[in-house]
Formats: sequence, structure tokens, C-alpha cells
Amino acid sequence: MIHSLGRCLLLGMLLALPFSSNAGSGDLTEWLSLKRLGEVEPVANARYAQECSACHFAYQPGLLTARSWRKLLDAKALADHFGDNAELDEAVRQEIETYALAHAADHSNYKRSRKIAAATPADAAPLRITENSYIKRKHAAIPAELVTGNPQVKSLSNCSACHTRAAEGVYDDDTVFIKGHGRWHD
Amino acid sequence: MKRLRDCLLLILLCGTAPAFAEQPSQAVELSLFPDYRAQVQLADATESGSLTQAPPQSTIDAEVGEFREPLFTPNKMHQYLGFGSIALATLALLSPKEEEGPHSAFATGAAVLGGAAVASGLIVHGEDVGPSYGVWDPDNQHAVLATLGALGFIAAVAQGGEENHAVYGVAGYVAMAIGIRLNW
Repeated sequence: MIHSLGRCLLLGMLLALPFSSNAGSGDLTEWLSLKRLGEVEPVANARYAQECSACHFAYQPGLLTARSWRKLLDAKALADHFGDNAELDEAVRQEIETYALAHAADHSNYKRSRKIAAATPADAAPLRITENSYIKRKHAAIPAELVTGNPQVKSLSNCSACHTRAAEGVYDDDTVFIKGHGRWHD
Repeated sequence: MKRLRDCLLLILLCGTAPAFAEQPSQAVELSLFPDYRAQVQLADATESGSLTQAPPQSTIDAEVGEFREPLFTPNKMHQYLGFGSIALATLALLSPKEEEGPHSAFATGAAVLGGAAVASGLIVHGEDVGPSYGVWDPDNQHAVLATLGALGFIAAVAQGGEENHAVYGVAGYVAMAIGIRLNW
């Protein structure tokens, strides 16, 4: 009896294998490699990093879904990029868009990107990372005076102000340092 | 004496975990690019609707420079326990299969650390798991597989000496390894 249960357990786990990866999206070989996938894929495209970080933190493509990036990086939309003109040469725009779409949250094997993609309704295309329910939940316990009321942080969208390894795509609690406050843990 | 040796071994193995925790940097070196912080912060505009000047780069660097990622936090301890469990299970798998010997000691250690990893995970990351997030949620998958892994180890140790106890051990190993991989 107990041995039959053990075999059932083993069989169940083997059957669960394909479902443990980000089935249907992302690269299975990446999942099987030794590459760390616990956070968000760091920006690995120099053009993307250069153009985005000219004005703000180069948010990793894995922080929004492809639908959002398509809307955000549309040529017309860039002319009014959160109130500023961020128009790009068409070839550059296309390169950035292609990179962002290929590495968007819903195409990623990285854990936090998967969480972001799962928390984004299928028909929604939020333009702000801070609108995502997963991001909201992860920051819900932080008092407003440490973020919007903190002159050194000002906004939740200013990721790198507190996430000391944000540029590497690492956003876990252990790497958070809120200026004027110190370390943070839920 | 034997227990003391096992404890020392566990501590040594846990001490290797920070090396696993270090993520190889694949990021583009952003410092090569213009100082975005000193320029207009679009980030501020997204919420306040107004554009403001960010603090100077030198001020931010000085403050962040003070920060050192701690090696021992509840989250890190959870990671170390999980890594320790799978490391001991690997040693149990590789060691000679004798009833009283390293195989048994490693397997017991793997079961204890696995159980502790599951318990610490529920305490530290309990809010990240739950039925409302669904079966595709990586944290749910991690929690379920790691729990099955720890249960497999415990069952194998409890059945120790019996012919088929390896089934539990191997099943637990597979589940624990996949569970850890999902969040690493």
C-alpha cells in the first residue's frame, strides 16, 4: 500500500514536470540551464539601455507584458511619453521594440516576470509598472512617507532609488535600502 | 560525537549557500550611459503629473554605497535551508547505501533541513502563495514541489532499511530540485 503510494507520488511529480516551467512561453533550454531565473531578466541590449537610460531608469522588458510594450513603444505614443517627447529614429525604435517584445514579462521564464504576467489581465495593456496588481501588493506595506513623501525616492516608479540591484534585475527584499530610512523587510 | 560531526557538516554546507545566491551579472553596464538621474525623471511624472529634478548622482551613490546586502536574513536562511537540504540529499544519493553510515546521516539531515525550509518558507513568503494565484503561479509551484520534496525525504528516512524506501527519496529529490529551480 505504502509503496504504491510512493510510486503514485513519483508518477505525479514526473507528470508535473512540464507544467513547472513557463509552459508555452519562454525557452525550456533556458529553464534547464544553470542561469538564475528567480528575478527579472537584466537588460542585455546596449541600444535599449542607452536610449531608455538617457532619461530614466532602463526598466527591464520583463516588468511589462508585450501588449503594454507594443502600446508604449508605438511611434505616436513615444511623441507623448508620459508628457515628454521621447521620439526615436525609426530604426532605433524598431530595434528597441523588438527587444522589449521578445523579453516581455509574458515571454519570460524569470519568476518575477511570470508573476507580473499572471497579474496582468489578458485584455489589459497597462503602461505603468506601478499599476500591476503584483507590484502593488509587493509594495502595499510600505508607508507613503517612505516613498512619495520621501524626497530621495518620490515615486514607486523610481525603482533604483531603493532596489540597490535594480539594474541587474534583482528586486528581492534583501537588496532594498530606502534612503532616509534604511533596510526594509515585509 | 556522530551528531556533532553531522551538525558541523550541515553548518559547512549551509555556509556554501551564499556562493549559490550570487547572481552572475548579465546586465549591460548602465554607468556607461548618460546620468539619467541628473536629468528629468520621467518616473516622477507618472504619478505626480509634474516633472522634478532628481538628487545629484554623487549624493545617491554615497548613500547606496553604504548599503551591503546582508548574508543572514529570514529570506536568506530559507534559501540556505533549501540548498542545504538538496546538497545533503545529493550526498545521500551518492554515498554507500549502508543502514548505519553516512547515507543515513545525510538522508536524515536532508529531511530535517527540507522540513525547516518548508516551515521557514511559509513564515517568510506565506503571502506569496495561495489558491487565488492559481496553479501556474511560480511561488505556488515552488511551495507545492518543495513540500512534496521534504515529505519524500521524511518518508524515505521513516522507511529506511526497507527495500523500496529509495522511491520516496528519489521522488522527493526530483520534486525538491524542481521546486528550488523554479525560484532560483
